[in-house]
Amino acid sequence: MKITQACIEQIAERATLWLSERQKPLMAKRLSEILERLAVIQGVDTLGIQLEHQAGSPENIMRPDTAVPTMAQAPPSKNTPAAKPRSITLTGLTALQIGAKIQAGIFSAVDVAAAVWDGIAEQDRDINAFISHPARKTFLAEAAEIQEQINRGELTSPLAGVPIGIKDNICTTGVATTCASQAMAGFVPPYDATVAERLKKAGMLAAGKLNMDELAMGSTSETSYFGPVRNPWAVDRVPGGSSGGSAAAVAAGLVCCTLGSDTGGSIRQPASHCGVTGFKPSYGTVSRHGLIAYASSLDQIGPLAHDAADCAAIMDVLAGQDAKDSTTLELPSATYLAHLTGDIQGMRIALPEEGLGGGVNEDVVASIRQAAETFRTLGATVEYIRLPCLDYAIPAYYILSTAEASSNLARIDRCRNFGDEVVKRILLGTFVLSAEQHERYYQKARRVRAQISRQFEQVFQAYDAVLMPTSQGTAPLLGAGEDNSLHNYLADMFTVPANLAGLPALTVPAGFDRGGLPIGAQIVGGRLMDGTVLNLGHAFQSVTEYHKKRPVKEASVSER
Amino acid sequence: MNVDPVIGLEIHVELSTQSKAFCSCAVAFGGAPNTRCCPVCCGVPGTLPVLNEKMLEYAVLAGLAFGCEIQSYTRFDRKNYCYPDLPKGYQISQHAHPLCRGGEVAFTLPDGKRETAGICEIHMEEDTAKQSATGIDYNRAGVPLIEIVTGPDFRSAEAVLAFLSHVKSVLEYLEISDCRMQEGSFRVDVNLSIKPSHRETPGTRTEMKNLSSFRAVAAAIEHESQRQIQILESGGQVEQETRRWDETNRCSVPMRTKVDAGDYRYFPEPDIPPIRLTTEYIEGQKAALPEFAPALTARLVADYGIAPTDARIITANKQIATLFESAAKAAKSAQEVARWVTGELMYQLHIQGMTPAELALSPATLAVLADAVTDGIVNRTAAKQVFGYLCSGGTDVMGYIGIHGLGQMSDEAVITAAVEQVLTAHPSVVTAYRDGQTKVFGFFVGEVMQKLDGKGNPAKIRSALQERLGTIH
Repeated sequence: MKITQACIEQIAERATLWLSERQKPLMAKRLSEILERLAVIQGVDTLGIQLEHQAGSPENIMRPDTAVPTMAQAPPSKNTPAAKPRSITLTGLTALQIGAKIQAGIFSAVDVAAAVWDGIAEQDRDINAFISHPARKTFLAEAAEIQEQINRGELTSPLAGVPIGIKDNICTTGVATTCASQAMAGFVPPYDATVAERLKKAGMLAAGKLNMDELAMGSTSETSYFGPVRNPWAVDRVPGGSSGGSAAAVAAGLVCCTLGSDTGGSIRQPASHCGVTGFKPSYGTVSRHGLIAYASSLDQIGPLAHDAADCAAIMDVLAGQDAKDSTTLELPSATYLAHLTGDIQGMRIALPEEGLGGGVNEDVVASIRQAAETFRTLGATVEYIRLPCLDYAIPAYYILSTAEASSNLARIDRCRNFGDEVVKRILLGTFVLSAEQHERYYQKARRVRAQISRQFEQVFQAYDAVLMPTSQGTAPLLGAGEDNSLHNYLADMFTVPANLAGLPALTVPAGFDRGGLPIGAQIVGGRLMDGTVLNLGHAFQSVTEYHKKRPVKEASVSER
Repeated sequence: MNVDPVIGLEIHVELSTQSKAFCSCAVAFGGAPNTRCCPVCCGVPGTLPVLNEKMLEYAVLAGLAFGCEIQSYTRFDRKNYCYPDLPKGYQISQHAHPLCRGGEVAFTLPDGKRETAGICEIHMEEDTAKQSATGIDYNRAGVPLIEIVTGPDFRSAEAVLAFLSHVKSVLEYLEISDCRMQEGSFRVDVNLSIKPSHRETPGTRTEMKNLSSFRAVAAAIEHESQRQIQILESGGQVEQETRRWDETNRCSVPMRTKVDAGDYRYFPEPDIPPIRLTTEYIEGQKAALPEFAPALTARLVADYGIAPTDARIITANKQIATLFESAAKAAKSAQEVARWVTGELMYQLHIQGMTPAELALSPATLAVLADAVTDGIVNRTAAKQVFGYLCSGGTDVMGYIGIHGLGQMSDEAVITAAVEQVLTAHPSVVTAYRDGQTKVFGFFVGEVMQKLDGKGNPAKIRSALQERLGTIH
């Protein structure tokens, strides 16, 4: 379908979006290109497919009709002066290891905070993983406060005192939350996201807000208003996206764990490119309250860390029903950590052939085959399957995510502040929802989505997990997609199905390409089988070393 | 031109829940701007709506009361449009799967004729913020609404007003809205077109907004019918548009044409899971429906032997009807209670500018007063004074009568003496009476009553007068 400039102007008017003279022909070209790619879903057989409202169709948990006084103010923090920190090194330590050392009194939370703060101050110049981080004095005072609670025996969480980076699309009271967008400049949330609240309750320390693609739209973290994030394994390469800052910060050793958000692969793909472990939970597991929405029916917050055990420990903090998000589910009480037995004897793993050919980089294919072997040696069975939905998940994802985004972003002032990628997606979303196109694009994509869910349901009747690449290749060079807006079109082909079907999916480091860049293997599980997925990753990491490898810091980066 | 207006209504009703539709802010009218709002209803990025269960319950009750079919599957949709009073850039509404479909409402015209109107659907949505000259007030943003959409079933302003009164009464009996038009909790939009009687289908319709009283609805219907007829008679075309009623100048002005209103890009609200209602839930709500005004009127007439006109006055308000029935059960004469409720009570409410809800009068106290009149302890004139005392919070009927000496004078010797004095004082009137001008009898009663400080037993005065006048020749 050819979109003219006049047509773009009409769509922009509907979206109440201001376009520059430069953007008008550019957007006409980009929309025409993408619509050509989206045409493929028209051929998908969706006859007799029952539409579902969203993945897993949660029950609507309502609110009792009680009024509460408005705009409660948070009490001011006490600001405990911190004792002078000892110099320690955290290199190679996981979040659970640091937490254990704090509980054992080997490190104090203040020592850890100082080491992390100084590391960010010194080393983030080269990576640009952080958009903002607290003043040293404040940060250390918070750590001292937590240490006091630990001393009094009030905080026994295995992660108490561990600093964690937070993607800058998650609201934190009184701290600017920018989504790496100029359009969000000046937004200081008056409330904490539920996940931020839960991290605080567990005694974890917010180490700063992480860089990302503008409004989480992108897969390279280059569209940030604060400049691109660089891949710690090769600073001329992108870290992936949109949670590029979250992955790069862990890979560079700036923090041992971070929160990201994943709408179509935004946790897993950068985790893969940066050689870290990233987990997207089942839809409805982690509250979205306080996450600046990209596509509400697909978004899920999740952890990035060095290994699956850290991810499970952070999930124990984050997961659970939230009265402020009616799409969250009541979950079984067993902890995720309790699932990590390392025993996967007899588990059945499916290996889609689509992940081992086509446009997939041969080093990636080799790593996935090797991962399959590893699972076999751990006692699992691995069988080839076909997963045809991989061919049309991307168009369905593009249509649904941009449609929701065009509405979600309406609350953000629409002056001339959005970058091209965001503008493109708002225009596309407005277009597919318009009365004339609604049936052809939006409704069809919903049917395709339901069909994909059904395909996965069938797979999970016979298998416990699907093993496939996270990404077709390894981290591209910075600027590689500049001339071609569709350069990254297929980058998410292996990650979006889990979002469309609301499934849990974990990326674990599984090798390196011939250039030494990390490769991630993706493990997708059945709905709400998050514990199984994390346990598979944990078992894999108990016999592999990829997740323990760290990038060699280049000469420009000063060694501590 | 021989023409009929064809009228359909969209009624927005604010539900009287404690808290808003999707957040815990209080629902109330008035107060300082922006004091009942939070990040959720102000559309702060990252916030999510969580449905108030009472909103659903109230909407189900309304649907059942208007004979709609409550849908077992219902969901919210986003209605996307950009307007300053819409903090999120969309309104959470219902489009594809409204809660209630297809109902029928029977109502009575002032001349007693019965009519029916169809309900197309009733759906739930959130109210918008309020825009004023000084800025935007978010207190109203997120207040729960139901929108009742009727069929194009009305042919006159009279029918519309009768229907609206009926709808208002039902909502008040359900106690789900205070239905105050002037406060905007009951808002009526009128869709009107003209159907020349030789044509099968009505012409182009307009939508009229901002009708803040029944009077305005009637005036707007008259005005818009005439406007459209004039356009058609002069060979013109009615434009499809939304018009705003200007109450001060009593005319309508165009707001926007339907074409620019455009495309709302509806899609399922992803932040609120769909709602599945069980038959048990719906049946449970059905069982909880109250007795509505028409049925109650008939029953009060049958059970208490009061006049139908009185019964209609009593049932116009649920609180008054409840007060009446409780008092009537306790009192010796239901008719006496009805007399007080339809007379002095309505008068007191009117002059004090009170709503029935604000009334302090208890049914038991009202029954005591009615019995005091029935038993001849106090006459009606004096009882009005007692009633005024009760309306301002008093409760001790007999004590008040005692203290203020309002007890009725029934001593025959005293009455006879007073009669004697009056007749002696007015010989010419007595002559007139004897000449057949019996009308002056009332004059004598009044004079005697005055002599007795208004406390005389009227029946005894009458019989004493008749006896005495009968002996004068």
